[in-house]
Amino acid sequence: MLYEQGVDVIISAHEHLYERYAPMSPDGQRNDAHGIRQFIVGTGGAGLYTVMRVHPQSEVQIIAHGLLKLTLTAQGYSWDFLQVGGGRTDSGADVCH
Amino acid sequence: MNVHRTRYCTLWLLVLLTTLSCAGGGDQWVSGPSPPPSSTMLLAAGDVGVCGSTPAIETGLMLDSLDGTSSPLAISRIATGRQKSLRPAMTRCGAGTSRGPARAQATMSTSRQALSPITTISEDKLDHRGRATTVSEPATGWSFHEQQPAGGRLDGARSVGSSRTHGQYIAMRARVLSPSTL
Repeated sequence: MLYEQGVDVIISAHEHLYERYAPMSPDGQRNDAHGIRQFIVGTGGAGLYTVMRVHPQSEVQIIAHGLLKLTLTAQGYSWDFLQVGGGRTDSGADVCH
Repeated sequence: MNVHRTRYCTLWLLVLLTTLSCAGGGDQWVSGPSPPPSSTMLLAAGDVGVCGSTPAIETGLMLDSLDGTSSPLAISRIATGRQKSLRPAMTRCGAGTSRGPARAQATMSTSRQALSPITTISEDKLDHRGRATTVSEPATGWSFHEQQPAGGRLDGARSVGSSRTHGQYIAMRARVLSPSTL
């Protein structure tokens, strides 16, 4: 349903890490034209997990506490993962469908 | 673009807000006399863990340090039917752990400024073990208060505000109060 409605981004948590996925179709295949990009941001302070298995469409995994700053505009969005202590970050931008 | 749906989890909320911003443009979801912002900043970090733990404090301090999130003029208090019971717990938790979280919670408790509405959001039931009670608040945000089976309590809040640098922003906080901190 989200895919059919043209959703661009999903943000979730639950898993205690930061992970960014490429835009995907519901079947898990990469789809830059209409896919949904997911961010997992379970990095608010709970004990961190380790990565056991990386999904083929997972582009970045960061095991650290921090915040996701997502800047939304009418045409697109940009993201910055801000790690506590100033360690590795993840930044980028994309356009909306 | 109105959102009048119940039984949405946090993830749905974020999805909808993102979609509204991307697909609709600013003037479709902001009303009132203020001009629509050119961008919206959303700060997100879930799974805060135990209130008072070092990582939770560190992420709280980081959130508070970002422009707009700790300004009394920029954060709107979440008004709910649970407000009276929620406020003391959140304040006590913050005051007993670190200056950063305490400042944030105190700010959220004292400011009730009218802000440009983004949308109307209704939610209940967060993705967390135990019983959840979540109430809705048009435009300004929501808060929830959950009594956990083990005796702890999960308090959280979402606020919508604005700053000169970032336009409108959305700040989300959630924390678990262990029985010893209540």
